[in-house]
This record gives sequence, structure tokens and C-alpha cells, in this order.
Amino acid sequence: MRDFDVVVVGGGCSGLWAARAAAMAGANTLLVEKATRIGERIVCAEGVGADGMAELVDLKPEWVATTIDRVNLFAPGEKTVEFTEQGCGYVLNKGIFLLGLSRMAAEAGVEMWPGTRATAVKALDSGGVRIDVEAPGRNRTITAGAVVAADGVEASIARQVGIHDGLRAEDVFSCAQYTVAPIDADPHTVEFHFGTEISPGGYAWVFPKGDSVANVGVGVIPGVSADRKPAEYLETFKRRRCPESKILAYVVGGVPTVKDPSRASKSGVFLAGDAAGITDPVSGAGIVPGMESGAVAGEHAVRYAATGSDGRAVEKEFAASLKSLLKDRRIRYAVRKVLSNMDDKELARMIEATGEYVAGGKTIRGDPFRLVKFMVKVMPNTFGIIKHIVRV
Amino acid sequence: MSSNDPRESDISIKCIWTCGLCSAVCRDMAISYRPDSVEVDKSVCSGCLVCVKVCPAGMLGEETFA
Repeated sequence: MRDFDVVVVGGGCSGLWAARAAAMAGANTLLVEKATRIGERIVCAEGVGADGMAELVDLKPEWVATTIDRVNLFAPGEKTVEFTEQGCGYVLNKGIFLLGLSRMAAEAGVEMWPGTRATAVKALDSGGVRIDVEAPGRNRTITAGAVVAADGVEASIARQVGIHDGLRAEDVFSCAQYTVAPIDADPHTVEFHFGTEISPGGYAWVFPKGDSVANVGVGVIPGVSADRKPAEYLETFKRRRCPESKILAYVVGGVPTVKDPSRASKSGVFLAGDAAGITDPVSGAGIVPGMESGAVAGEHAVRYAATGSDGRAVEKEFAASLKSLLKDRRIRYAVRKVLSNMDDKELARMIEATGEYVAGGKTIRGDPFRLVKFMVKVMPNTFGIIKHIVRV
Repeated sequence: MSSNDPRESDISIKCIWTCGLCSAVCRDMAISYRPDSVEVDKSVCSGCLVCVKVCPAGMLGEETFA
């Protein structure tokens, strides 16, 4: 007799959405979160695209810090391209957002144990999964029909059960971010700053949160970034962009962007979100992909739990569902690789061309082939790009 | 044993973030962490220094593994 049908490890947006999906499918579901309150630890720039979010949940006004209507791209040398896309995205109040998702999970029937860490997960020969959990005064072993591991970039559970053996450094954005105030920034405009001096292999950002507050951060690809750390690039960027602002918060973390995250289950353990390396490879955005993959993982975990030990067919279907969900991934991963290796001249050319492209009323959102065509059109080394895309 | 499990280690580095990135890229599974420190088990660490390369805050340095 098992304790729960499904246990979800991790109370971020992927885990909460997975747990809700599992409970809505009728499973007796537990979520464990190591922080003492859900939404306590926010390591995130908090930006989301409006299109993706609209398909998942109706955002409550209190979840949203600000609505984004404009995007500014800063090329090396300070040339700026601005384009307007009314309501194209949001910057969230992520802590309040997660609290809202946890309320929705609770309404669906999910039991939640904050302040509880999963220390070991093991598939049982008899079917199901054993989970050792640790909490003040409540260390115990529980059993479940299946587990959703949404334990973030470290992906400790994925490695314990042998789904993968760790991330490659080149598949990670290494990031540092301040929340600052006051800042002279338009409350409805997000800024992306490019250049090898600012953020090699990645970009720096200013995401406004309204009321003269903003998240100001830097993400770099390790190895592209000489000897300096994101924390150092961040300090340099802050000095240039908002030297007078005071630092309200400082966080560091990693964004995993793996080439093919579809092999994301084994022996009743299903991965979701950062633990599976499921973020947008170009932008590093993780909230929407995390929730989407969480829902798919939760649904398949329920089905696995119902089959007992013979769940291999469910795991195959899970991989197929993820492949479908991530259908343009190969292309976006290739685009990111190309972007990461551009020098300042190429970056400037690309951003200038982006300005010309959107000035003509066109968009690079949506269709991935449009993105590739755009890249090929604007880049000087067309053959190199095609070769790279074919190779990955 | 979980890579997240505190255990006796040869190297202990004070780190207030414990973002997990060093552990995520460690193929040797030599890194674990406590709430305010990163622990490295030298008996399994191959010294590849990938953890040093990815650390966003510069908490891990090559000298740590010398």
C-alpha cells in the first residue's frame, strides 16, 4: 500500500503545475518543497511572454508587476532598436504568482509539505518509488506510484535514478541579478543589452517591475566569458546603466538549455522544468516551458502510477509528448549556439537588421522557421549558420 | 546518496547562494551543499574545474582544488 499516487519534488512553477495536473487527474498527490514557504526563494528575472501564459492560466492582477509593451535591443556600441508590441509580455511578482499557483494546487487537492527536502529517491523492484524526506521533526520514508522531479537546475533526482549525468557547461546560462531602485526605466519596456564586454555569449537585461524598481541582470555562457564571472559583468553593467540605483536584492543561478530534453523519465520518475533542461534556448525563459512540461509530467505520472511496474509505454508516450511540446527546439538551440558565438560586429549587424525587419511590420515571434530565415538573412556568414543548424 | 546530501567532505566553501549550478555540471557527483556552504568530496573529484567555470558568483576558485 503506497502513501501517495504521485509525489512532486519542488514547489516552483513546474512542480506546482505538475502537482495540480496530477490531482486534477484524480491522483492522491503530495508536493514537497525544501523552502519553508512556497515562493520564498526567487531566482528568476520574472519575465513571461503573453502568448504562452494565456494558454496556461488567467493571470490575476496581483501576480503582475507590469505589462510589457515595448522591447529595446542595445547593440554593442549603444545603437538601439526599439519595437512596440502592445501587451507582448509581463514581468511577474513571482512570489505572489507562486502563492497563487499553490492555492490552485491546494484547491485541486494537492497536499503540500513546505520545509521538506527529498534526500533520496529510488525506484522499487516491486513497482513504485521510494522517497526519503527530511524535515524538522519529520524525517521519514514515503512511497508513491510515480514521482515528478521538478527540483530545479541541480536535477539531483534525475542523476540519482540515472536519467542523465549532469549538464554540460556550454548548455548553461550562468546568471547574476540585482533588483534595484530607484531606476530611470520605462515601466513598460524591457531592455536587452548585447556585446562581448557586457555579457559574452548571452545578454544583460533590465526588466521593470513598476514603481521605479527593476530586475537588472546578466547571463553568460561559461567558456565564452574569458575569466570574468557573471557577478563581475553584472557590477560593470550596473555601473553603466544605473550607477545611482541601490541594490534591494542579489541572486545568482543557472538556466539550463539542453539540446534534447525529451529523455526525461525512468522507472517512474518524470522530470519537469529546469530539472529536465526545459527552457527557451534563445532567451532562457523558463516559466512557461516549466509549467507546460510540468502539466505533461504530472499527467503521465498519474498514468504510470496506475499501471504499476509496467509503465514503459507511458514513459515512451511522455517522451513523445515532450518532443511535440518542444517541436522547434532543435532550431532554437542552433540559433542560440550561433548567437553565443557572434562577435560584436555580427551582433550589431543582427540588431540593426532586426530594426529594419520589424520596421517593415514583420515579427520574428511564433514560427521557428521564420526565426531561421531571419537569422540567415541578416547574418554575414550564411553558410556557417546553416552548417551549424544541420550539425546540431 | 543524493548529490544534495550533506556529508563529510575534504573541501567546504562558504556560499550563501547554493544555487546548485556547480553540482549540476559535476559529472563526478562530488559536490553537495548545506544551506550556507558547498561541500566537495575530493575522493571522487577528478579536478575538471567545470564547477569553477560555471559558478556565477565566483565562490569556487581554481585554488580551492589545488
